[in-house]
Amino acid sequence: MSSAIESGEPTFLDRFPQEAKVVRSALWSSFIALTLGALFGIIQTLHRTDVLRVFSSGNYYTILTAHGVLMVVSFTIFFLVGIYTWAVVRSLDRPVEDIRYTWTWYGLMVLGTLMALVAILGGFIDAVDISADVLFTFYAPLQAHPLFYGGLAIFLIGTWLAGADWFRSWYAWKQENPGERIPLQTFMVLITMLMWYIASIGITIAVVIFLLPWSLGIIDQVNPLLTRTLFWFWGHPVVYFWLMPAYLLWYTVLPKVSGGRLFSDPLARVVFVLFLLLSTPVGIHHQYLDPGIADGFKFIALTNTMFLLLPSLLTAFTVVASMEHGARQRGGTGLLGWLRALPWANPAFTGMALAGLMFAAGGFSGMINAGLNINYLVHNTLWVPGHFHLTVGTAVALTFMAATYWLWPQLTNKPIFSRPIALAQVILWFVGMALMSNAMHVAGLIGIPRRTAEPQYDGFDFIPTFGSIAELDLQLVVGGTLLTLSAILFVSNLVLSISLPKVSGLGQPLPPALSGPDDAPKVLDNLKLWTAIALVLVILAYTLPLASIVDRGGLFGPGGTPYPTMVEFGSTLLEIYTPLTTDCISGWLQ
Amino acid sequence: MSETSRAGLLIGGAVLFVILWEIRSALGVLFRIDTNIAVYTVVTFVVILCTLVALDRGLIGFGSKEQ
Repeated sequence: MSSAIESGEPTFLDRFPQEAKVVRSALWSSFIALTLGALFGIIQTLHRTDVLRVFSSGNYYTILTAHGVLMVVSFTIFFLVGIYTWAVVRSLDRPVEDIRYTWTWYGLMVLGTLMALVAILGGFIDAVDISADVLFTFYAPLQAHPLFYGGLAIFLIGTWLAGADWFRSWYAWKQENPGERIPLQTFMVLITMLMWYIASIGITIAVVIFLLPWSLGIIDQVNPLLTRTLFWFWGHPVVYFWLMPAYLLWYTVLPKVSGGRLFSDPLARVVFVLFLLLSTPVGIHHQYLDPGIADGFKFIALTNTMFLLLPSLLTAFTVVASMEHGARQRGGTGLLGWLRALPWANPAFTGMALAGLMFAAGGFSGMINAGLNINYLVHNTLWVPGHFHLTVGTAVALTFMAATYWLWPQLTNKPIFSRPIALAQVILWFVGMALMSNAMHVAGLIGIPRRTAEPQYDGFDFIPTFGSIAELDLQLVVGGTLLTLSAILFVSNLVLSISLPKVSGLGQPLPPALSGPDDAPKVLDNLKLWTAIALVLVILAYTLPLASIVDRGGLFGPGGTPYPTMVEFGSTLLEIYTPLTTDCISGWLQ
Repeated sequence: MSETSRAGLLIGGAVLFVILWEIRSALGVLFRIDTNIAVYTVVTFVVILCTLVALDRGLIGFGSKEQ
């Protein structure tokens, strides 16, 4: 098995043993979260479809919160810090500045996760007065135990310090290499972290100033709309915080495993800069149905969101072009015949390629979500989980798992236990998610709600346009079961790899891009410029909505009026213009 | 033709399954054509099986080694 991946090159572990240990620890933390998250995922799938009920429906939010937080906070972000540490150290070709500092931020992230997890799991034990049944979208009015908010805050600080670690490495490298372009992987890491620092402003204010003091009883009430808006200030860019490591892998590792080279380094840089600029001033598109935010602000968020399609489309072009280059290097010919020459037997390649394919579908359903009017059709229905299980649940998760098959041997000097099992695992994830998310999308279109253990109402039946509700439930269960099986296969494969003997020469160096960094304008590396523009865009998008929310609902509540601001605005206009119009008409008649 | 691999056919089969399943939803949602799920499932698997066997024999050939 190992002979297929032996290159004779030294591995990351050979060159940077201390950093490899940190990366391995971060990835194990990520995979433990994946395992637990998958467990809670199948429990809620079986519960909601009434196939098997292990807990009462009263515990559904506890299960849903555990599933959400473990999957989209712990699994994704622990993987991010692992892969980004690898990327920075590898691309700068230097160890971290102080490994004790690196272990410190990792330790803080573990501590924060454990605190939040204890608070969430406390919801299962009635005798303990600790719970955090607030879902991943933990804004008011749902309230969690202070331990949950404290844990999230510590976790967040850990990620900030991780970013500082990578900036520190880059700064030290820059002193030794003046005038050189930032290596692509490091550039991607730094841009991601700049986006993260800006995005974190919202959630930091929400947690530190409002939610944590409210939970501790220091303040009596909060403005729910304000905490929701601050959450989504962070809540949409966090989507890109999950996605950008996947993009890094698609841009720098996928071309390699395809057998070729990245098509364009400059395009990759442009894409990441666009993510920095456009990820944050869009969060209000999650609040199209929120009263108290004027439609004009929602329209601005809609426009910015549609611009976000641009980097995704650029990525589709660049990554597919890189794959085609790889296939032609492997002897592929013809207009589409080159597809057959791709290394489909390699689970790393296949997983990332299928993840990219599903991301395209997720992008289309995301456009429906982002549409101001059509969003009303699917808002708060099962369509929305169907969408994000394609994006974070497949584009991100499947890419992470597939990339692990490529990276793990370089972190351990041991081959993956079974490549056939790995291949079956990525295919199972693809098919399972296709079935589950398809059922969710269809169910959402007929109005079946999300975030409920009992998706049925007395005296009312959802009318499907085809098939039956029972069929959709069956499809959900089959899809969810395949996904659980896939997650078990993934983790088992890695655990079994531990027992294999060490092998030398498993290193996989990454080739340079066909169009390298020298072809990119130098302004692309001007991090200060892009950060300043990103901040200006955020100020433009959020100042007026936030001012309006605070003005109308108060900084600490009691909250906004329960009808859209535009209605009031329209009423005011009517009050002003009706007498004028009446006067004019009276004047004409006289 | 020699570059086609059985792993590639397997992935192609999975993708074909997803496409055929999405077509059922599209028929139902867009045109309200209510296909029988049992029949559709059986037909889907038969189509995929026939396609894979045909491609396996046509592109890889009898008795060839897995690539």
